[in-house]
Amino acid sequence: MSITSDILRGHTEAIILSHLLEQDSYGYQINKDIMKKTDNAYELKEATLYSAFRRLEQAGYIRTYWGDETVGARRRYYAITDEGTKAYQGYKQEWQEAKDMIDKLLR
Amino acid sequence: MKEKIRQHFNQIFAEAPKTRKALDLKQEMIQNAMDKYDDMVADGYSEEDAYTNVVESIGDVSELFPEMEERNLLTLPEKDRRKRAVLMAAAVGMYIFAGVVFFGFGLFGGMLHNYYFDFANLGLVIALLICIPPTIMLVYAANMYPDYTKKDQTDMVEKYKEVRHNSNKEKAVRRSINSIIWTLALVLYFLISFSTYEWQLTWLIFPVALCVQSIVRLIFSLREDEDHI
Repeated sequence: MSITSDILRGHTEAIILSHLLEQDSYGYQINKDIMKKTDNAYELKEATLYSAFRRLEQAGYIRTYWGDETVGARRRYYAITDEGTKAYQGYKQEWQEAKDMIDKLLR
Repeated sequence: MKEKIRQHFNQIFAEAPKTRKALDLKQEMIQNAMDKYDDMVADGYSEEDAYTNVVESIGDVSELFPEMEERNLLTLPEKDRRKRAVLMAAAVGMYIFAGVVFFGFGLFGGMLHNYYFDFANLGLVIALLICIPPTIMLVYAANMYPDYTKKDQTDMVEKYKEVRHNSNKEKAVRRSINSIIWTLALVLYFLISFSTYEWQLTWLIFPVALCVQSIVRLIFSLREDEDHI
């Protein structure tokens, strides 16, 4: 399990970008989706999630805006930028290559 | 219970820099924690369990404020910490050596009673010269804080980190240059003063050093601006 969570943590940024490719989202929603997709096996720590947001924003891969909820508190939404999409595609290809290689090496 | 969550965040952010960004982040995290809490209670968890779970899922917030972490010596990687210790030990050793040289020359001069040549002053100048390297070393050691210490880095943010790393390095270089300027000024001051005995003029070295320092700073900020454009 520790290998799994280490690898997952190392790909936090890519996981976030992948979610934002589907639709704009906010912090808790992304974490909920991650839990749903992994059958409640994996949940990001909030500190990890928000520091990843910060890094992605500083790198210009995502942008944020405040939602216009009429009820309840306003949420801060995140959206992927063109550069983010490009970075994600490169990242995914690299991951695919690494995965193939490890599959070949760990028989 | 919700008030407790809010208080917990207040506590976490008590040490955070009081910037607009940090306040926004706090607001955002509180909102998401509340959402999670509501969901868990709606799912049938007890309020106590939901609170515990929400608080535990926050994790290590220090990674949210890297600028704060930089000031903490304990976050230096093992390798840098050792290098730093070696640098400081060597610097202290050289200071002691400088002191020994100074007193040694003084003693020597006193024994010789040589009226043509002042060994004590020569000793002072040499001792000051010996002090240059350890001063530079100490300044460098004080500036070698890393700007990221997390192991789980990914390629995507590497570039951004590199930029920050370089700027930190540049800061260290700039401080080293400043210390060189001032130590040199001090040595020159004594050297020229003792050889010429024109004390009423030699103090001018210090304003000149200040001027040189300003020029260096200007050069650095010009270069920084260019990098940003």
